[in-house]
Amino acid sequence: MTDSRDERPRILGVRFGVNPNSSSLGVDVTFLLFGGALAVATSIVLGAWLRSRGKKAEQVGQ
Amino acid sequence: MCLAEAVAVAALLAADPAFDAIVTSATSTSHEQALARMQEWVDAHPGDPESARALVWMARLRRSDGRDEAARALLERALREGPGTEWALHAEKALGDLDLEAHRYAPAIARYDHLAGLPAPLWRYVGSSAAGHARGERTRFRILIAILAALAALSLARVIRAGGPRSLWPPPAELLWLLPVLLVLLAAAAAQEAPEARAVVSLSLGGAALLWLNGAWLRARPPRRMALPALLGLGQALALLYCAMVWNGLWDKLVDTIAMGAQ
Repeated sequence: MTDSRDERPRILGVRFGVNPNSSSLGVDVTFLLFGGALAVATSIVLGAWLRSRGKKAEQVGQ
Repeated sequence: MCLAEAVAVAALLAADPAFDAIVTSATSTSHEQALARMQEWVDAHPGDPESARALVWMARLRRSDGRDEAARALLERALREGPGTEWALHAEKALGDLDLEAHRYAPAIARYDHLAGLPAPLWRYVGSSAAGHARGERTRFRILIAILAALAALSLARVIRAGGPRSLWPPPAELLWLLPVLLVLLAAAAAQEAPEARAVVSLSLGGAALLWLNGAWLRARPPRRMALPALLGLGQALALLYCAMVWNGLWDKLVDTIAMGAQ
C-alpha cells in the first residue's frame, strides 16, 4: 500500500523574484557588463592615483 | 513578440488548409523547403488577395534566418501586391522594424507615423508606440555618436601631446593589471545570447583601448592631482558602458532590469 502523500504532485523548487516573461538582462550579463565597467574605471582611477603619488615623490626627492 | 506580430501569427494560422500545411511545415530544419513551397503557392495564385499574407510570412521566415535584405524585398512586394489589405500594414510595420535595426530612423518613424494615423485602434496603438520607441532610439544613437566623437578627440589630443604613437609602447601597467579580467570577460561572453555577447565583447575591447590610452597618457605626463584624470576616467568608463548597451540594442533591457531587477 502506497502512501497517499507520495502520489500528490509536489513543488520541486521555488525561485523568488523571477518573472519568466521578463525582458530584463540576466544576472550574469548584468554582472559582466557592470563589473567590467567598474573594473575599467577602478583601474584608471588607481593608475591616476599611483602616478600622481609618483610625481609627488619625485618633487619631494628634488 | 509584440502585439502586431502576435496578431499576424494568429491570422496566418487561420488560413486555408493548403496554406496552413506550408506554415506548419516550417521547422527550423526546413525553412528553404517551406519557402519554396510557399513561393509555389504564390505563383499558383496570381492576383490572390492572400498572396500578400504569404509574402509577409516568407519575409518573417527570412528574418528569422538573419537574411534581412531578402525579407525587405518580400515585404516591399507585399506592399505593392496587397494595397489596402491588413497584410500591407503588417509589411509596413516590418519594414519600419528593418529600418530601425539598420539605424535608418527617419524612414522607420515615417512608416510608424503612417500606421499611427490609421483609423483602426490596433494599428493606431502599434504605430504610435513604435514611433515613440524609434524616436527614443534615434536620440540615444545621436548621443552615442557624440560620445564616440568626444572619446576619439580626447584620445587623439592626448596621443599627440604625449609625443605621438611611440608614447603608446610598451603597453602601460593599467592595461596589464586588468588584462586577465578582460580575457575572462571575453571568454564569458561566449556563453551569452548574441546581443549580450556582443555588448560584453564591446565593453572588453573598448575597456582595453581606454586603459591603454589613459595609461600611456598618465605615464607620459604624470598628473599633479588625481581628481581630474580620475573623474575623466570614470566618465569614460560610464560612456563605454552606455555605448556597449545602446550599440547592441540592450537599452530597453537595461531599463527593465533597473525597474524590475535582473532575471
